[in-house]
Amino acid sequence: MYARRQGGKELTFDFAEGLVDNNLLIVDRETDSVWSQLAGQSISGPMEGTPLESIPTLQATWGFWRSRHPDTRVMVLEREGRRYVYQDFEPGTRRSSEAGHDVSTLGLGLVLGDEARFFPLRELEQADTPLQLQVNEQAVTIHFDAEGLTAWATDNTDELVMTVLAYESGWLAFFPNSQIWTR
Amino acid sequence: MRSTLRPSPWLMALVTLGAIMAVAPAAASPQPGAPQEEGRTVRANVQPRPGAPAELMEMRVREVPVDPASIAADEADLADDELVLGVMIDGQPMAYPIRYLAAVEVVNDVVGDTSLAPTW
Repeated sequence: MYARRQGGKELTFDFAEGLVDNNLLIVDRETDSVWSQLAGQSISGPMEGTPLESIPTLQATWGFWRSRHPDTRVMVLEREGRRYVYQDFEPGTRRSSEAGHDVSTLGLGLVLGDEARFFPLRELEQADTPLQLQVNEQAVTIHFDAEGLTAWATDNTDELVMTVLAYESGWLAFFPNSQIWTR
Repeated sequence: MRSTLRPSPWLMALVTLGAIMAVAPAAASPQPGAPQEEGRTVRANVQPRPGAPAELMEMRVREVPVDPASIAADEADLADDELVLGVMIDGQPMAYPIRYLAAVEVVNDVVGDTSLAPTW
């Protein structure tokens, strides 16, 4: 999740049908620059090298999110003529490009300064969570909820820390020096 | 709710090193947020795989929603075990069902005074 205002300019993104390292590319209407989702910066075009400001998110089941945030609003997309291409997508299924992925390798990825950590969900499931630890000399708490199918991180003021739920292989492609946490 | 703990910019730069060498397309300065023409493409020099040489690729651009509608939790027709991407913007919780994000990959939303782009 990214802020769309960058350097005084509000960007409007579209999907670019290409993948780099199996990672989503988006393109903005205002400058035609191409951006990498996982790297969080422009990789081509007039804004090349410009970072996007990340907004921390939590991926979880609807039941988990709603129970903690009853006043939440929910985005809905309507089919609008033929402008948007919708795949047949049932809850709980995965994109075809991920069909070969093993959900048991899902984990929580975190980067602070020059340190990257990956917390496999299968390890968190066996651990005594929440975990209190130090990453790059900063206090971080790692939370896990099996029923909510989710993990997330907070700092010492209880604010969400920027993380991604990712497959281990995908995470390591971007952060090959990442430590893999084990109990 | 934005964290002060941020990934370091140089690390992020390292990540995409090798996928650089941009080819800036002759941008026609469209109106901000204006719908794009059919059949729009963008050209970029990108590295298709780690370690592979960068290639000039022409990619089709698929237009995605701008400022989509939202509804209250009580009106939502979602199963408890369906996955969502949750975010808190200036005290307002917002949920993006993964099934919608997976269909369009990225959305241009506005929550309060914040314009944001959830991606999948």
